[in-house]
Amino acid sequence: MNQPSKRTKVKLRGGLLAPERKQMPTLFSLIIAWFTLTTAALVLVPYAIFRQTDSYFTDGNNVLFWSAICAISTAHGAMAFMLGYRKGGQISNFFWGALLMPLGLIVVSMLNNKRPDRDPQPARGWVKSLDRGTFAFGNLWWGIAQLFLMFAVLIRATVYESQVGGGTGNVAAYARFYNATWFGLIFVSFFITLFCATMRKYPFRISQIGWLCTHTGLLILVIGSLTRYWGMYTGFVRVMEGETVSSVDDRDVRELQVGIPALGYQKNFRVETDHDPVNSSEKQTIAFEAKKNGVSHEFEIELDRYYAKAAFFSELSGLPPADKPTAVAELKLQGKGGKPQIIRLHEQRQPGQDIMGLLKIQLLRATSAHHRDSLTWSYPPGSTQRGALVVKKDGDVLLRIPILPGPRGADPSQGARTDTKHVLEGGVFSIFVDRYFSQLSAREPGDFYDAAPGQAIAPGITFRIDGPNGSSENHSARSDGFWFNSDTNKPSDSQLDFVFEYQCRASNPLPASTIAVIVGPGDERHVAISDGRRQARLEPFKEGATYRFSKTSPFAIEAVACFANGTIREGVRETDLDTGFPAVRATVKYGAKKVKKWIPVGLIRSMPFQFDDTIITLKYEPRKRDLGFSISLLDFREFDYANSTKPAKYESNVILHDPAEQIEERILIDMNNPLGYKGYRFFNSRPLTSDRSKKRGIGFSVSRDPGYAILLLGSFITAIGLMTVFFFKPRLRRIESRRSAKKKTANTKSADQSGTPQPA
Amino acid sequence: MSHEAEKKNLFFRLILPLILVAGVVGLIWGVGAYQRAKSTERKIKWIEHFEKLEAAVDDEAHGNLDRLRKLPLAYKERVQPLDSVARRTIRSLTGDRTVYGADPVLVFLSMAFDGISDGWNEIPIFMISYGVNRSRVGIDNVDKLSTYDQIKNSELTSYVAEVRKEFANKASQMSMPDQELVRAHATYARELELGFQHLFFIAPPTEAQRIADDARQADWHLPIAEDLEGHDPKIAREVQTAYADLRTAWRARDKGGIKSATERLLAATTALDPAAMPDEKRISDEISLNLVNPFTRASWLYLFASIFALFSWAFRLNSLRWIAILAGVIGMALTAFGFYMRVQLGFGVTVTNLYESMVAISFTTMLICIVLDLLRGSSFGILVGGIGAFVLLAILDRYSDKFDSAIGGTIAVLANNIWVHIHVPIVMASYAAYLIAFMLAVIAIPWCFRDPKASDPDLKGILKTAEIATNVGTLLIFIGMVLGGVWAADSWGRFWGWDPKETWSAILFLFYIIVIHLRLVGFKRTIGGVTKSMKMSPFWYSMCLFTGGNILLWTYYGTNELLSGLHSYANSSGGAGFWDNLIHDRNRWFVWTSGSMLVLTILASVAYLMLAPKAAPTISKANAAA
Repeated sequence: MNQPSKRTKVKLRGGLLAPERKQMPTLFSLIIAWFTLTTAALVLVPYAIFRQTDSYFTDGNNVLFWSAICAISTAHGAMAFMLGYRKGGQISNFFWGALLMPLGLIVVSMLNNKRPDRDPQPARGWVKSLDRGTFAFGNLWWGIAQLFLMFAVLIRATVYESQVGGGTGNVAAYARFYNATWFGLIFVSFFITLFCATMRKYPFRISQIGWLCTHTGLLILVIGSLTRYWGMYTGFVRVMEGETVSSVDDRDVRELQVGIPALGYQKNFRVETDHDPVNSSEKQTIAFEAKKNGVSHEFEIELDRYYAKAAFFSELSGLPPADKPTAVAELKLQGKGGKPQIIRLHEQRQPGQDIMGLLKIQLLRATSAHHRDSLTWSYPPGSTQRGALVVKKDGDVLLRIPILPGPRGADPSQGARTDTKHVLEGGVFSIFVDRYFSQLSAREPGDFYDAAPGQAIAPGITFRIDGPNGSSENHSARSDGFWFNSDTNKPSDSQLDFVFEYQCRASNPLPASTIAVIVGPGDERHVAISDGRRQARLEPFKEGATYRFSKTSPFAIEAVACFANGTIREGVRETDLDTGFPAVRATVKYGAKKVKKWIPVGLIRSMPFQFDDTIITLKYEPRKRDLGFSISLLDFREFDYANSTKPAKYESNVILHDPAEQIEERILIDMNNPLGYKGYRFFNSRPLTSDRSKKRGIGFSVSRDPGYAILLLGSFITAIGLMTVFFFKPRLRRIESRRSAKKKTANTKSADQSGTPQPA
Repeated sequence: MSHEAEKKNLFFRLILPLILVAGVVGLIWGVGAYQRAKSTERKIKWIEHFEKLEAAVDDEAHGNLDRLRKLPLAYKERVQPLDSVARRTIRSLTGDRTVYGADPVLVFLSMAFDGISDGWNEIPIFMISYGVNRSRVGIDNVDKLSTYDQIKNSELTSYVAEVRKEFANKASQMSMPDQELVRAHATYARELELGFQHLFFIAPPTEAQRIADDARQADWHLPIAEDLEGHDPKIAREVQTAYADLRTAWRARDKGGIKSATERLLAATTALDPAAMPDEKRISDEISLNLVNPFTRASWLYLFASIFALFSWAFRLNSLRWIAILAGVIGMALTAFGFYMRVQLGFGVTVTNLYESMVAISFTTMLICIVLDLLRGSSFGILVGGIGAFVLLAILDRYSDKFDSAIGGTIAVLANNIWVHIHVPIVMASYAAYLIAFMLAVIAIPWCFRDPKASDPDLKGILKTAEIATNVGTLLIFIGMVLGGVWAADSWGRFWGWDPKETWSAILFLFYIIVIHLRLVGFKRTIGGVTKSMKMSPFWYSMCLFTGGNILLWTYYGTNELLSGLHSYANSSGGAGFWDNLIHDRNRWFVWTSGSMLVLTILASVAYLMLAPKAAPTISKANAAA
């Protein structure tokens, strides 16, 4: 592989001067506006203030001079705009435009000629108030007060950042301080003060050059920081080797992707509650309408809670006894090596779990002791069982009618047919067992059918009771305790208070390698361990006890908790673990119904919110931004320091592809040599490895900073100013005094010649 | 000036600075003496032990230790002489440059070859520096060194296991004492059980391995059979036998045997791959750098310079001033030499960690104060600058376990970057300038009580020098911040990110900007002011500079230790919260220093308001207009 050169021939353009195509007119208009405003502010305002006072602008030539500069600045801005816009924002064009300004200055200076001074006049009206305002705002004490305020605020901010600590301190400090409106207002007010202080010095003297430079530089710095604040973009993108990306995830901004498949609705909303990790209870309401077939549906999503670091949790809790109890159980499965796995079972939602086809874990409810016993019997499907129809009264067995399923191989349903007459309670009853089902299933009593293999629940019978009075009732009984086997169930239409029970030692099979928690009857709890033999082991459920299939079994199951009536609470809560992820809580309102759920960042599938007639899906994702060009990662390399695993540097080979500009270039990105294109800069940030495909990749952090050039300009001017003000001021003073002395002598001479006295 | 006034001012020119110098030196010496006194009894026994040992293995005729010193080993990313490895290991174990006055090489080899069994388990040599931690694991020593037996019988292992379990998923939140114990445990588990033999990465890799690895140096090997696979078996066997012979000879205290085995070992390892062996000159250079210890020597020269400057100032002796300047220049030359050697021996990056940055500050402090004194014809610049530089280097020397002085690698972004050579020295120079201003303020403050208008030319000179130093510092820190921003934009993608270190630089800058504006506005002004640009009262100006010193301390040390951030020598405290870090043992000195400075500021201000002669009448507006 031939190595690409480190610095490539791609034109690296960035910042304000090479904005995106769609932003260009706006930005260049901004530049014009800025130039015009600055000129106006620097020239017209002082002119207005000092027009009627004894000042520089009482000289008509000076007014002409500065007005010309003002006009030329505007023309310069317009020129830059036109050239820049027409020719695709090339830097060179901008500089051609910029050249006009000094050129114009020279021309105007050359044309400048002298005119006599006017007499000063006192300021009046709004000029006077403006003058006073400028003066008050430019007060040095006021400036010092603001500096001190900033000083104190910054100290507080850094301490706050560390108090929050962890990984979220910086974000929290940004939310509370650095990105807060009031913090920006301090800067704006500082800007005004600086500006007014500068105006106060007007007209400027030579010895003030340093001062002026410093403060102008700071003004530009403030403008730069504001530009930066409004225009800064930071993002992140992951690329694996051989992949191509053309969009970037925002680092700070996330959005809610709302989809209603039934209505064909899809829209993204920006989430505003998630900027401050400390304040978790900010609220945001998103209301929208989705229309289909002329009918509009109104939805409302309320975000009321945000955790910067959240984790899923799921825990059992007991409920008071109820008519229809729901059993829940929690077990801890420890395989050979590895982390223990927590298994939570819910009688209705997930009564059983299959662990990789090796192990089945179930939660069953037994309605009676007999039922519980029968649950632990293994029952091979298709086999027939001996059993008996037992007639009970007040717990005493009155009668026991054996039911023989018939010879093996014969139709089992035919084998059980019996017709017997019995004397019960003085009357003669004829009990006719009609059918026997080896695998009986039913939707409701009476609607019995022979289930397909695999769907079997329990064997059962149907029978008819003919009473002495000519009454006849059809009944059915199942061996697992449904219908007629319990002490309380009685034939519904019969005047008799007998209880029928079909007892059969074959029942709901526990497959081999099954562990079942059996709840009932009442509050009793047991663990049934089935290792494939006929009968499963039944042990009492003891919290903290460990159950195994055998001594050599690789699985150990620890009983954690079990409630005969309880629930599994699931959700998201705040955590301080490093693995925490951001999550918001959303309440979706549609019609009269509300659904509340937590939505974590980075779910693969959307989170569904189920309503009666429709489903709304929500996804909480970083906002995507299309770059307009794409980047493919060819390969990625990581270099370590010698004799250590500390990474020394990362290198990624990428192909930059821009169809609009017809650019396709191979570029090497390494530390301190980021890729800059169209204002975006790509940095190697984090190496990635994919577990599945064994591929390597890199996470690029992406940034775009339109204020950078302005900041640099401001810093440069400030630094020059500081140097001048600190070290060259005496020299400038000397120059100034020499000049004023010269001027004085010249004035005296001219005064002597003309004979009119000059004001001191 | 009258004789009386001359006498009075002698107090401020001589006695007070002398007290200052003596106080600083005394404090540093006293702390050391106190620590030494605590463990004297235990010490004497072991000093004798090592003297005996040295006599047994080495004498002038054999020169064994000096020969062994030169053996090249690979250790922590670099091939270096055994001397450096021994020094670094002993320092990280004991927290001291030498232990019981013994040659580190001797101690290191004894630990490696004699092993724990041979009396080593009774030598107190393993450091747990904080009393809190010692009592936590059940070691009740007065001093910080414990023996192997003590550590083995302590609850260190179980305690650390608990800590690890608790912070399994949130290592970033572990408290500072816990971090120390975890680190300590890792060291003991390795160093104690294995002795130091596991550090003998003495055999260079095969040529194939060296070429296959892109990095500068491939892994070196221990002299054991599995490690030496791939080499010429004959030579590999020779390496093993020579090493085994060395060990046997050492155990038998056979001087001749040690000598011959060392020579054989060196010859054999060189024969493995002559190209991989470091230059002999590099090895001897590094050893001489270790022995000369130029930074410590420079610190004494700075102190001399300071004292000479003091007397030259007090008694108006210009010749002494030149001696002071000479001493300062020699000290700087030594520091520069040390830096040059470190760059030569290391990976070519100069200022990357706290240790190097502190050396750089001391250097620039001295540079700035000498230049200032030459420009202004004074000598108090060197007086304070010398003391400042001395204190910095003395702290480095005394607490060498806290400041890692090893020549080593740096984090990825720092390597091969031009900005690290520009940004860091500029910021360090600005700190140095502020430090000078602070120390001048310390001399000026008491003087201002007697002479509130600074009519004495010496006091005036001090204030003027301080003003210049402040200006230099302000300009430099601004440039440093901007260049730091440029660097950050280059490697992190943002010019300014409100990182605590950045923010505190801005805070420092803001503070001095405030002081400069107060100076201009004439805060508590005196008639005419001290200089044209300074209308502020001398006392309050000095007080401001004094407070500035406190803020400088916070910016420099407090930010690193108490606040979390991105800067590489920062973050040594992990992510524990601000208050946790503030009250922790490790930062006690810092809190005391900073706190007492604050209290002093308040006390002095109150005292001045009550005691000082009434301030001169300010210039009224009417007068000013006239």
